[in-house]
Amino acid sequence: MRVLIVEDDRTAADFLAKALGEAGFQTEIAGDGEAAFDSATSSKFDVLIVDRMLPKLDGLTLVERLRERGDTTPVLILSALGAVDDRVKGLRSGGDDYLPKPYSLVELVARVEALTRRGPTERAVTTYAVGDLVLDRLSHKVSRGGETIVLQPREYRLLEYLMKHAGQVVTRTMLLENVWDYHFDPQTNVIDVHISRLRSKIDKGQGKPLLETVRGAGYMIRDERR
Amino acid sequence: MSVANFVKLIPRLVLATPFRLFAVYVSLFCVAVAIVFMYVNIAMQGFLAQEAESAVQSDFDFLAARYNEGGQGMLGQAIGERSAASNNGLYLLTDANGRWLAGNLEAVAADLWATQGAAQFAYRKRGSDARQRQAFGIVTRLPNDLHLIVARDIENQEMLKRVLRNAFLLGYALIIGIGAAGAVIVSRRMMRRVDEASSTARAIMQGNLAQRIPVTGRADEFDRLSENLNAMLDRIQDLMVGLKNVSDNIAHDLKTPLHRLRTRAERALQSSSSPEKLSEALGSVIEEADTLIQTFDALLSIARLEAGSRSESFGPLNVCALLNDVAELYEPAAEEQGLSLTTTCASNSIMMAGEKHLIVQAVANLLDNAMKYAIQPAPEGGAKHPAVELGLEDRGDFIDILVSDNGPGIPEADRERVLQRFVRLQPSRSIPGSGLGLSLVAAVARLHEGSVSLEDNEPGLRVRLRLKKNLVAAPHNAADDPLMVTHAA
Repeated sequence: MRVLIVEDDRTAADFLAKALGEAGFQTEIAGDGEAAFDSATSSKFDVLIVDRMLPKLDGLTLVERLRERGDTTPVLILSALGAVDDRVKGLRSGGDDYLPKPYSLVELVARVEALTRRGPTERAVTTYAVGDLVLDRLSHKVSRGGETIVLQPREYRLLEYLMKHAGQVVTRTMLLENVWDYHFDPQTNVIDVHISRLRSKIDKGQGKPLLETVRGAGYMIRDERR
Repeated sequence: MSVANFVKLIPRLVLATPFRLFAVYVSLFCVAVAIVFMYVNIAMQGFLAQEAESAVQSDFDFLAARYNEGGQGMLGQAIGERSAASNNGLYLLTDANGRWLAGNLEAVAADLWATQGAAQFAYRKRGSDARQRQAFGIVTRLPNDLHLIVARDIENQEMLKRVLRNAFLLGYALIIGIGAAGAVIVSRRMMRRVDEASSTARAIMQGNLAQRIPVTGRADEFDRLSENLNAMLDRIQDLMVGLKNVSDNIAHDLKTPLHRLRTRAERALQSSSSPEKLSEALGSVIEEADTLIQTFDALLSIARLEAGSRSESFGPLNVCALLNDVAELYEPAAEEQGLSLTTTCASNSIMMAGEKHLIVQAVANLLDNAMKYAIQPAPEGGAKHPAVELGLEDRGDFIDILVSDNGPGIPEADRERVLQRFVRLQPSRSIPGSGLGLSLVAAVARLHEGSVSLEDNEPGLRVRLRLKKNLVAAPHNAADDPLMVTHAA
């Protein structure tokens, strides 16, 4: 998995490269928009991380130009501008995800991993399975070990998102954005309670829990046997 | 004002707008008067001249008839009679050498005899010592070298002309004089008003923000301008004071956690204890940093909201569905804390135009608060079941979102104050929070042309978030459309 980091702050870029390297990514750094455009057009990357404010060519224009060329590489836009309007602008220009600065490295790595899962074939997947937990996206039915589990609509969406990113860390913010479509930081740990409700439905009475809490980061659903 | 001062003022006066206007008006007026003068002069002169001419002509015709009838004798007799009878007619008959034969005129200057026909000349009546007067007449040479003058006095006409000319000249002098004086007076008055405003502006630029432009109470356009400028200055001063308070508060509320963060890092570094202790210290450093970021984000959001107007992201919202969604997010957390969270909508088809994410955030902030305080013990003690209620009321052009808890509430005296930034009432200092939650709610309300008010829930606090519906066209269509019910169901 190759990631192009487009960031003019060298220190921040190095930290990013290191964190992504530890997560198993190969990274390349471009210090300005034009260099990034050259790199992105001359070789293939799996994810682009683009800072919004860049020398020479700003991040949004860079993404727009790449999209005009038919480049569909997933793009994560980083920005010091965090308002909803800015996010909308960022996503409209062709970005796939938007992370306001300052961000936590855990959050960033989790989002990059999530982006690598976004492929053209992904849409065709109708069933997610983790261990003996199965989610049928057509009938909206969930079962574990053959036993049907009844979920509320929101719980279903939560589980669907977690299973779509099975084996990856999913942060609370990612859940809030993708399952609820909210972009704010609740002071109470509202997400945790939703997760524990879901967990009690899918893991209760089962020998092996599938839904783990990753300390300091978020949650992950996986089957440890594999 | 001394003369010297006035002289010093002249260049400014001449440049002043009213003075220039006066100059233009006076010039135009003078041109108009000149035209009138010329017309009157020409018309009057023509009329008088014609009158004199016809009188002279008829006299002359009469005398010519006498002469033709009876020669010199008859003519002399007729002249004699006429001279005696008329005060107006002037007659003179002389021989070839210019000696007087008949008439009431002294002999006239010899060169007059060279002219024939109409002439204007100076004359003196026969036997009179009065000064010479002007006359208009007909000079004729009769066959046997006799000279005849038949004339009329036009001295009065000349005088009339002079009087008229003088009157107009005086008029000009008055127009220019009074005009200039008026221009000076008005200019000085306006200059004084403008100078007052300029000196106020200078004082303000030098930092004295409390200065205001004097208002005379005459309710003229200057007063209106001054009042508006003063209102603007009031607003600017309020903003400046607000800004100063905010920056003081920012300094305090950002520096305190920064200081804590620094101390923690420093302590961890100094003690150089076990790796577990170090990582614990680092964890709390990150926590402090996150709190700082949250505070900072909240401040930025408020600043942006207060600076901005309604953005393009305003869209139609089904408020009840939105509230139910937010409540659904919080419901498990409430249950875990032993709270009951209920949502009541007056109607589930109330629509408004707004920025969804901001309203959600405002409601979430209010819910966060309400839940925090609902689980606090009531001040008078006693058992209660902590409860938070989310309500929606339709108020015509507005909607009211009500968030009520049965916690300790806020004393009436403090309610106004908690809406300000960073204000956290003493008893709540121990509860986590930045003190910015309600300010953000208030900013969201202002963006939606609404307001936030705090009420007594008996017991507890009820926050009323009022937002303007702002629906532009065909709201019923939007309400009928099930797709309009918040997009993320």
